[in-house]
Amino acid sequence: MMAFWYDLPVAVQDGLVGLMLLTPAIVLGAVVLRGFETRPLLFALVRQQVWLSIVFVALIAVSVGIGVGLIAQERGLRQGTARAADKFDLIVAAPGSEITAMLAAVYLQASDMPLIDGETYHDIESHPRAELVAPIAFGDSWKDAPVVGTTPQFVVHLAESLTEGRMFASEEEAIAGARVPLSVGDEFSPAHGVGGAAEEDAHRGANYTITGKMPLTGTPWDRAILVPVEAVWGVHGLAVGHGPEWDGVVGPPFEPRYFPGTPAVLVRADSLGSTYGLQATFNNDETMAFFPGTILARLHALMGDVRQLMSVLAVITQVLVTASVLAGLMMLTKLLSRRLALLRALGAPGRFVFALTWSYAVFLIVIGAASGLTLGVLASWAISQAITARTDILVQATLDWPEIHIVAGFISLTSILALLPALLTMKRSVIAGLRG
Amino acid sequence: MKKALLIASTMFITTPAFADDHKHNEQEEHHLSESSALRFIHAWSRETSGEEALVFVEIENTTDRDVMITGAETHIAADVSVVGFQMQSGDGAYVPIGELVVPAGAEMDLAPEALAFKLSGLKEPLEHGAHFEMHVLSDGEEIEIDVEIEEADAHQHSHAGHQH
Repeated sequence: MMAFWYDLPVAVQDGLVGLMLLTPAIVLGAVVLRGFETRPLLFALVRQQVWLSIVFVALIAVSVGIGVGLIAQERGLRQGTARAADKFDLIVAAPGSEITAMLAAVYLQASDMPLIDGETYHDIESHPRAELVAPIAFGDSWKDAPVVGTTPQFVVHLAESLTEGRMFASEEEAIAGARVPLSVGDEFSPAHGVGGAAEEDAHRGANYTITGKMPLTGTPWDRAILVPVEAVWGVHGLAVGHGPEWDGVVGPPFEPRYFPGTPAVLVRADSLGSTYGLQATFNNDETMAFFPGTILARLHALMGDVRQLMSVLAVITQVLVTASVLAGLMMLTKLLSRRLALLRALGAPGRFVFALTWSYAVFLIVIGAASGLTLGVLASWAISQAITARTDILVQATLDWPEIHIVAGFISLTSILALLPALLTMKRSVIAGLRG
Repeated sequence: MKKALLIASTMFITTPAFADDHKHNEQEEHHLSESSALRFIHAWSRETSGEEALVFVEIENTTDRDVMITGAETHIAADVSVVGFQMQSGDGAYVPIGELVVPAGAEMDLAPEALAFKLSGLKEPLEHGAHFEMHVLSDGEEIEIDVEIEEADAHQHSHAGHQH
């Protein structure tokens, strides 16, 4: 049985789980409404109590929307941060905090980090299984854009192809990320440091010309300016990674003697197995090698616990709101008791009044839940836009099965709770009802 | 009389210590497996009643040459493969990596969200506290390792950090 279940496509499994969660409501509906046609009276009741119905639906929709939005947002953020790290297979840095190094190298949150020396870089670069080795030298900026020193090979790896212009070919040229407000041909002078404390005049005389623009990647690199690493070393008065006979062509190979150092190195091997082999080799006393994906997955695992808690809190909130709505519904049925009693006096069985009250409550719950789903998606879309604008990490929060499961479970649970006002209505004395 | 009491008290004091040593040696035997080139320490898996499980272990290459792990097998699963964790479009997944090279003199940690042996087609549920044997094939050698089953949500071997 379990083997059959595991063999099913994931989408089918999710659909079946959703159906299972909805089953109590469906079964209950079939039993309660069996033999009755409540729709004409139900719609008449809704029309008569239209404003009250709208208020009840809105309350349910807002509570469901908050829950759905939070969960969709958390997933969008998790996937967005992971996508931003997709291109960073293995990072090698000096021993220290992996999280600090990841934030600096992948998300461009600059930090003071020790440098990897030329000999170590050469060992990484000359490893037979390393396909791409590139320095990531950060620390300078232009306005809010970090200026990162690297190689043409890294730019190609990150952007695949430029949307405009050509690759930098000399120390005076630069490539701009898609969101950098500089066009091909524009010139700028870098500041030393990043943020408010950056020294604007520290590199006076050093000018770069933008020769190309990268496409939108949905990562913080959209706001970065990439320059030859030789230029970063040069403006800091250091050796430029090449000997006196250097022909001026930027990029590898670098000479260890003239390599001033880099805070981080991106490494891509010829296969995933080789990448793990490189990690084992360069995780030693002198360097640390880590997978940003692994660090993120561990952070996400911690967030996973929070997500479960959020899901439970969302359902509790929704149930509490629905309980309030049902309490309001009980008061409403008391107000309508004369009409319901008249209905019974005209010959309608008690179970019909029970079915009518229950179907009215469930109608409000289902419309509220469906509106809540839409509201949640809209809310998370708006929040995603705000997060993307602030962090440059493309966050796309969309509706997925977990939210649908929560809503399905919510409908079933509250349709059971809706039996209570229906039962109280049925139990009410007809004579007492007619007397008002 | 005093001498007899002294001997008796010494026995009471030392006997548990001998028992602890014995227990520790037994655990050490379980936790450590060696071939001519590799040491396998703290092999563990997670409790499951599903079809698949991951086995994690710390591997040390004690030689000055790269050593290749070509495969593994166990009587409790239809197939064993080496897998590596990889982010794919924002979601993590374990993908097969074929053979695994343990670099010369390096330590390789097969751990959650990294490398693992993936057992497919489990023939019996894995219960917390139980053990099973797995045979790792490496450069013509077959190394038997004892895999301890930890809790379903474990993130490391219960003796991780102990020296062997």
